[in-house]
Amino acid sequence: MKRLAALAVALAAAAPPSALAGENAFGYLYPAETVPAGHWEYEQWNTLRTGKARGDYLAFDLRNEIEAGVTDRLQLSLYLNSSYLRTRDAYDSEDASADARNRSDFQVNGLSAEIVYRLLSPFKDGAGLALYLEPEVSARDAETGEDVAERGVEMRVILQKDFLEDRLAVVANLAAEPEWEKDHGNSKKELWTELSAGASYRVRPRLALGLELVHRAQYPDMNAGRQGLYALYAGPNLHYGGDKFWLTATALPQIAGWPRRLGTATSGAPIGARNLHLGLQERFELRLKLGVPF
Amino acid sequence: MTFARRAARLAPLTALLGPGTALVARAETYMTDVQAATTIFPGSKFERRTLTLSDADAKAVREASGQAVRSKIIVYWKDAGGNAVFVDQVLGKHEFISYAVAVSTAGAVAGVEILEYRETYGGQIRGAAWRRQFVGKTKTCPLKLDADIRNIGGATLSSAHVTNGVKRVLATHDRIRARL
Repeated sequence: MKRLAALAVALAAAAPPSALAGENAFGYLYPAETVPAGHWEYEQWNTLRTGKARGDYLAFDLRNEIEAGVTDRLQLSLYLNSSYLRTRDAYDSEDASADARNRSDFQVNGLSAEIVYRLLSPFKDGAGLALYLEPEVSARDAETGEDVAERGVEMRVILQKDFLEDRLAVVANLAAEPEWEKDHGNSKKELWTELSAGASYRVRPRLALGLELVHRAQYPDMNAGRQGLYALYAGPNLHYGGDKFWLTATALPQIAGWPRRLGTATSGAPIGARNLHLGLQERFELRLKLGVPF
Repeated sequence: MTFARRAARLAPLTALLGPGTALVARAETYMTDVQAATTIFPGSKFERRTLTLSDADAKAVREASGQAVRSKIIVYWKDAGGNAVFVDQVLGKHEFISYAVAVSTAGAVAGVEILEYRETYGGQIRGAAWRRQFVGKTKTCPLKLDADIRNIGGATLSSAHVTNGVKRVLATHDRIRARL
């Protein structure tokens, strides 16, 4: 029996090389690296969003993801998206003149898949380049908590340039996501864009510190000439890469946004913030990501 | 019997399960530098030496290899025939990778041995076939992934850094050959 136990432990210690290449030192940006062929990784994304111009609004988005390396360049993933939403005396995110329903509930929002293809490696080609596609279907709006029938496709170009023997990674992402939504018989379409950039520096073995900058914008009716809103976020990130798991935390306060004036309350008081957009976006986001290769 | 000895006895079994299991590395020291030297040059007797690069040396090595010189203190083992085995480190994904590069009197790589590899994945760089690619390389060779050195998918960073390290060691050897 002891021999069998020792054998089991020895085999466990010699488990196939796990794929920390899916490891991401950024909370919001994607690096131009993919999970190696034949390897898998589980990722859990925990995102806290909070802060409106009035009332209490707290959203906790939970994404569970499985990533698989099909080839050393091609990675496929599947996400299950869910949210806990607690609101009290808040306004409707899309029409601040209307009050939102008080709620406290957790629901599954929908599913999304992800295809990432790496064209260039940051470690051997001078710079990294990857293309990303994420189709998504949702039955619930993570922002409002209301039932919807929503489809979207996020397209992303990922750029990465490393410096200082790959201790410093500078990453930029350009993303666009057309969305089609049906809500109580009403159809609408919109385009979201996200331009983001960041840097991560390995300050000591296994530990990296960095910064992320994220700019989101919405274009109603997919009219690129008519911007509906924008929000600019900036904040630090912290990353730990362990033997069997990795952790990344990013705190992202909104530093600028538009439109600031969202509407008028029934009391006649304006609703809004001086420099921020607090309609479909929040004052503050905090994301904690956990990755477990297997 | 201690667990370590018991696990060591089972090592051949794990090796039989395939290259993926045999080449795994977690916080591992595989051999000492003198073991590396005598593995590459069997029968030779080695003496450990150190040499400190001047600023001019470091600049010359950097220019010749295109690689940063992180440490000016060069540690090497030398045998009576003039062969030298350099002990060096490069950055891995999380930790340093320690390795030894044996350079013949003619300035060609005679062998590469991985001494310590503490990354969770990418232990395939310890594979003999991958290391054998460096044998015979000289300072005039490209020593570049996908050119004259094969990349290991999923361990590109480790492959690139060890390749760059060997290139830097060859440039160092060429610069200090007369003082070895």
